[in-house]
Amino acid sequence: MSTQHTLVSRWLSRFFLSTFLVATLLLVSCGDDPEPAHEEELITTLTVTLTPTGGAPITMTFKDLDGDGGGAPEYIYSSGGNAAVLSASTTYTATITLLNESENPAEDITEEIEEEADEHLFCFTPTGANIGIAYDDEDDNGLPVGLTTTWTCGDAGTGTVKIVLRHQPGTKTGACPGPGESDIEVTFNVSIQ
Amino acid sequence: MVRDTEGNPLPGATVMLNDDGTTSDAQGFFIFKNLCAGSYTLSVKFVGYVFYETAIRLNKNHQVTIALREDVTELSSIEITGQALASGISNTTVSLSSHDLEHQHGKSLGESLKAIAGVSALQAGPAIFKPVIHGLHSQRILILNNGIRQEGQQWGIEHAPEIDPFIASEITVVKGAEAVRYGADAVGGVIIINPPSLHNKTHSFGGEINTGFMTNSGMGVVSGMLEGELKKSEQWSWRLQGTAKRAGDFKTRDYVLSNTGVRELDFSGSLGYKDNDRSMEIYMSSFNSEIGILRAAHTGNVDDLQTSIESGSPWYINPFSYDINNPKQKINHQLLKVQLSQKIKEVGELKVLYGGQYNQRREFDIRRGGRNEKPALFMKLFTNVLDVSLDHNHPRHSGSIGINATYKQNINETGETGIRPMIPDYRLFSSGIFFIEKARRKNWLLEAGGRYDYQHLNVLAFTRTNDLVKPAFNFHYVSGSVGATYYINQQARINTHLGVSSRPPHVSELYSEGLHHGTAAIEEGLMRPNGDLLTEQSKIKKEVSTKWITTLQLGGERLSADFSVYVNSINNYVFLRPIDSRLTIRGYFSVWQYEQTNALLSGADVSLKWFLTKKLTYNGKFSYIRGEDVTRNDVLIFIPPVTLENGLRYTTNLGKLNDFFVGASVPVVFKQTRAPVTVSPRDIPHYTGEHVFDIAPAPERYTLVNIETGFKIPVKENSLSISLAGENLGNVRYRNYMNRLRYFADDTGRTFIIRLNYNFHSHN
Repeated sequence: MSTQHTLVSRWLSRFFLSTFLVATLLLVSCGDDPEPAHEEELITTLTVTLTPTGGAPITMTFKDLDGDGGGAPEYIYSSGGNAAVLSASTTYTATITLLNESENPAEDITEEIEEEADEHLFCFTPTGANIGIAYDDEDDNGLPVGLTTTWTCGDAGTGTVKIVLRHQPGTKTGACPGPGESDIEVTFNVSIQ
Repeated sequence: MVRDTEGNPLPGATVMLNDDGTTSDAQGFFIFKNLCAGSYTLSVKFVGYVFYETAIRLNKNHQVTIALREDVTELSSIEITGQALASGISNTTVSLSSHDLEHQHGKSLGESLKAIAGVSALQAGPAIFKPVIHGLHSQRILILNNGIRQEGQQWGIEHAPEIDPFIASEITVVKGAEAVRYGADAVGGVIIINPPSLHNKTHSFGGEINTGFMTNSGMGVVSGMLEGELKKSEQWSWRLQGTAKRAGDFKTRDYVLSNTGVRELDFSGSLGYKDNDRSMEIYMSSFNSEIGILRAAHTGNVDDLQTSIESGSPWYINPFSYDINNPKQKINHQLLKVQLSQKIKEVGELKVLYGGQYNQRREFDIRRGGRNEKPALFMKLFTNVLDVSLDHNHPRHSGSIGINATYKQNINETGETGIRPMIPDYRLFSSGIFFIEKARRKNWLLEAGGRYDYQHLNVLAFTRTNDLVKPAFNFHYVSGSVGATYYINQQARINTHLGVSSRPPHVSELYSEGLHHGTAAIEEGLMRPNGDLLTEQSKIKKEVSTKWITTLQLGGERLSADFSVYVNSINNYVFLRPIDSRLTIRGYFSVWQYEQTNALLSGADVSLKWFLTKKLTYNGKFSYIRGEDVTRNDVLIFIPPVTLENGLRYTTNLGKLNDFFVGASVPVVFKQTRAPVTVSPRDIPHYTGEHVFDIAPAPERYTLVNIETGFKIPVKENSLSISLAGENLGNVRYRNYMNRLRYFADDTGRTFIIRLNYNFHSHN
């Protein structure tokens, strides 16, 4: 019994010695200034490049350089105005590029999506305008991704195309919108002439 | 016999042996006759002294001398179950005794406290419970963890207290404002977690083992405690305690709540010395938990949120698992306490208390680019507290004066997260000075107190372009209280308490900037509108709360009851108001900004215990609360709905089974009729109203049925208690207004819980 007690008291003395050590550490506080957060996951810019067969490409861009809050995001259409001007009865190859332009040089986020293609899915919802959108790429599981698509424009008209990037780790089925959350949701104006 | 620590007899103490009661006579003696041999619980209660309870084994004639320790906390309370009335503080307090807590074993602290009328919980799923006292929570409530104010990241609505409830042998809730003694954090009330006294034992070595298993979630919990005296001297006592808990996904009636598991591992140890004049205690505890957040509650923009709400059930349901994946929280909280006290002749008792705490909170999100292993939020909070008080205790008056100093430092590990933090780094120094004086006159107990505090807050925030700015704030604020208790007779007293307390806004209320996954809401602090950093501080006002509470307490042989009514008027109440919606590359989000208004909270609590026969007891609880934004003529969000609970319990001895009981209770939670207007997430970008809104209507009323049965078996000198409880027996499908997961999923379905408790002692 006495050896047990010796063990207990030895253990206890160690225990309380360590508590004092912790206390000393707690009292030490650092007065250094913090470093600003390096926003790693920010996407500032989404660009859709629409290339007609044998023609000049058209781009439409959504840009929010200062992230959430601050200045309002802006839409930039290479054809000028506030809509992308597409030609009727024309087929376009559309590619999506994503950038983090708050970094210098700008970071290419498209690569991140390509690497995790089996977790991501772009969903396209045309409204008003007569556009058919078909996937042109697939992930390792044979499911669509949407970084490259084919846009087939019909008759003249105006409308919008909503582009949503769904993040679906472990749950992707290829159906839109499917499970998961939206990492990007941008709506562009289009005008088919 | 019952005596005090100096050996003087204490006449008139209430002595209970299991359910039989008597009082000590003029010489302090008491006697129980014609008892059966076996294990009993002996407890002694006396005004102004610490409640004493022990397990004893009786054979033939047995004599026991009990030395009661003076109640130094001055917060002795009426137990809702108690028969005798204790006195002390002129404020409304309700306690959960060790017996009450046994029925809560395995539950988190916040969930356990729901057993008290007027206390509810703000939930973020089945395992995260934030206590709410009379409608107030977070930085408006103080938790005293073994005498030390708990300093974690209380501001977060998904941040539960980092405390293992198994350390407590008693939990007391002070429902009135106690800002005078404890400072600004205590405007809404205080939760006092008391471990059993290190001294006052009848044994030189003992311990306790608790285990529990819950069918829903497959939760298993084991908690053990060992305590004793050092052989060299009876004046030295020690205790070691630890808890391990693991739960998997909880289940509703119809589906698994995927990713709601919990893992927890806690330790504590203490060493104490006590003689007639002085005492010393060193206490250290370590709380470590990992909690999964319902996977389906992690949504993106308002469209995602709309889809999640409309689907009626979570979009992510997997088979049951013990795995905890992202989103999840990992929390560690280490605490060290050193307390010294010295009696000074003809002056009183001087107490010095140091508390050091380190809180580390990491939150993990669903992230892109292989960043799931990196926390999305990583905060370290260091706190040092020093309290010095001088108590005096005379027959006709008693009181305390004291000073307090706190130094806190919050550090964000943004290098680890790669995300802008929700609240900035800060350093806070505060100090306060207070006095409380009580006087006894015939049937009256009168109390008055005052406090002055100073706070210096240094914030280290970044502008949107990542320039560091260091705004500093200096706050001076005062609090005061008066209270009176009138003893109508031996079995009834009425007390009334008025507390005026002021609180400077918390850093989170000043500088929050961030997105709440789960509500598609961006929150911005008072100093941070639209992500800008204001420099003008004149807009910031102290929150001033005036709370008046009156309680009638009855403690008769047939009926014990508490009736409380209260009104709390809060000027410059800090709250979140929806001001806008914001288009980001991720779609639309609602924007909520902290603002200040005048709020009025009022309500009533009732708890009743009616001994219908010697063996049959009725229990009733009721609470009503009304919250109002007076200035803006609006309701307040997350005010607990009306609850009513009725219960019956039958207790008897069945042969060798002591304290056999069977009981049932039926809680009814009504619909919150004063809920904010509902705005569907998809309509948020078009919302132009002035009112605070909610994204889903308040859930309908629900009624649950709970049952419990148990008994004690004598095992040699000790006793083993076994109990079996069934909760939500009808497997009712319901949603709870106070649970933030109600937008996505039902609440938990039927569960059975088996609990074992074994106490052992030796007298060597």
